[in-house]
Amino acid sequence: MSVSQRTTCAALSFGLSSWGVAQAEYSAIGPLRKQLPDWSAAGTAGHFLKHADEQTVMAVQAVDRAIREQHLDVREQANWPIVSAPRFPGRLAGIDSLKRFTTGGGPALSPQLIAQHSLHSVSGALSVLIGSRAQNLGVGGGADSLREGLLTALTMARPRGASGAWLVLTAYSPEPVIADDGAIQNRPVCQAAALALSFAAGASHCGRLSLRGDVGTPAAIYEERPLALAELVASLQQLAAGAAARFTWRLDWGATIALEVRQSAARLAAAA
Amino acid sequence: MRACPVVITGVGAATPLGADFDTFAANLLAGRSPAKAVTDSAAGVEVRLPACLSDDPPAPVGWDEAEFRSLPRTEQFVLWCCTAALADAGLLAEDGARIGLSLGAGGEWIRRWEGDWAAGGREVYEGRTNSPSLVDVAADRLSLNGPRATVAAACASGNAAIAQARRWIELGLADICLAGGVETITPICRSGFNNLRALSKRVDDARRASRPFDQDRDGFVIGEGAAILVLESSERARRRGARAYAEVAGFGATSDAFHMIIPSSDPAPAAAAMQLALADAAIEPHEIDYINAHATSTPVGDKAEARALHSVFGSHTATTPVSSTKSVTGHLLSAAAAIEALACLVAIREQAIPPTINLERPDPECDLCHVPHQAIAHPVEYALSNSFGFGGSNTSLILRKAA
Repeated sequence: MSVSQRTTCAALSFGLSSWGVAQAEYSAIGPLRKQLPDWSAAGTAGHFLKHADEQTVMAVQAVDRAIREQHLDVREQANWPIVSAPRFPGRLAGIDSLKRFTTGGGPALSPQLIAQHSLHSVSGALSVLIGSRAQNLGVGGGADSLREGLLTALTMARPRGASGAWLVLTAYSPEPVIADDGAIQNRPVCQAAALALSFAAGASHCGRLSLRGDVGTPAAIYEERPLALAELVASLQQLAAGAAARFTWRLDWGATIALEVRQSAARLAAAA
Repeated sequence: MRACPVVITGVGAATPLGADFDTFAANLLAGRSPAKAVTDSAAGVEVRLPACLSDDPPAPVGWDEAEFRSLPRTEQFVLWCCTAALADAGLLAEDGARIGLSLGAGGEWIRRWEGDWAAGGREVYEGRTNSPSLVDVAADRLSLNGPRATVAAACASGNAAIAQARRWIELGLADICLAGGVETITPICRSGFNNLRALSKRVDDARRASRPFDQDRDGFVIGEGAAILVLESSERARRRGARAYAEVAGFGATSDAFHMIIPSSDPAPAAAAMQLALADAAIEPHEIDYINAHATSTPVGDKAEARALHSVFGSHTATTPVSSTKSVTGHLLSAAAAIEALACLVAIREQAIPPTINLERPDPECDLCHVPHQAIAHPVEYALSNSFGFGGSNTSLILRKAA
């Protein structure tokens, strides 16, 4: 099929009804496990995050900020799909598992490894906490998980009756460097950005996420170093009231994803 | 009917039942399980489990055998299946088409780190941010030039991948899309599930260990393999004279919002996934001719699914054939839904329902229209495949015999 015969790509666009970012050094994550948001679904055990991946813990923090700063009603999110795109989830748990396996064999492994530290684990945990019965999906997992997450959230089917969806991006920066004895040799920071996507027309007071298909564009526009989550989080943390930040990611198959994020004075006040 | 139906025009398989569709179909319909006892040893401790392992996949035409075998095993499965699926669809010589890849793979990195560590590597300790993922490697090696993503809904990953691929075609982001799932199991993977008490202990009777819906079921039999489908619009397939196995007619997905591991005893979320798929396909429950159940052979899960089926199919539950092909293949985790989509294609092509083997004493709490022991001839226009997973994921995929 020639390029000219291709189906025209749809332009996809969502407004942002809120957003939130969070970060913490590895050593500061432990206490956050005990801080379940007050919007957590009724009946959620207080130790729900005890065995969760660190990226799940930070994802919850970022979603919590997005919810609090725009006073979102979690009860209205019972049919919101949740897409999470963690980078290298479960790596620290993996090191622990390898050590346990070496010293104690298979029976020494934690039964939590698969459920809590896999690619699906962040979105699964958020769906339980929020009480959303819509689809939850983990995306990416590797170095390019951010772009895969953005693409999937933009293109997945919108459930009938849902007013929005969550996209949560997480990663360490820098990645933890671990010694043979399990000691962390650097100061890794676990980061998360939560975007509350709105399906409603015109609901873009906090920004917009869109995808444009560049039909016919040669596949030679791949960015050598795409914008990383660390840069996104840093930019959003410094966003002044009334300001907007714009980010783009080019996809090597001929599409561009654009994210515009706005900071309102009300958000800053709520954050304060 | 959808404005632009998406059809399956090629399949690639590397399964415990064989590495091509015809062999898979023959073994599935014959109920030939390859389950056997596997022993893992570490730190002087032995763990013996029943498992359905796959042979290493063949090297695709044009590949150097030694070079292919030097690749990580998961990569071999994906490259073989993608290549075989494209060839089956008659697309090897095609150029200019924008080909995407949507891959269900939940444990890609832990498996990769384990393999690297076992070979003396240190990748897991270092967290190399320049390591390409499986979808990027496959896209590069196969010169795929469309959208790509790894998706994970635990054991429902394959269905999610197929649904995402269909969306990309509907949205015009891809002309063709490869979609499916892959799972290779390692000692840590096996022990991880074993410590969850999810696996059958029937190690000395491995072929009878996977027994969905049976009163004596005691857990699932872990399996490995991959299946990849070629999806494209029916219009495009017709234009190039391609054979279509089936239409991807409907998809529905929900979450339990209940627990990270235990399926909800409330049948509503799983039932809702089936209802969404039926609505997406614009059909009524009585039009489904075959249900490929998720049923993994766990005491809790099979019962919960049976309740969900009753709530959706009502009186038709008594007459709509249901089987769990995991009784034959084992449970292929991230690849399970893709393998079970293949099983539905077998049912549609052969107009026959694959059996649930080892169903000797049906659980009265799983009162369904079972197809025990042997395949039966049965007209199949619509097949529904359920796949559920950790994190509370529920998915249902409906495939329709191509016009």
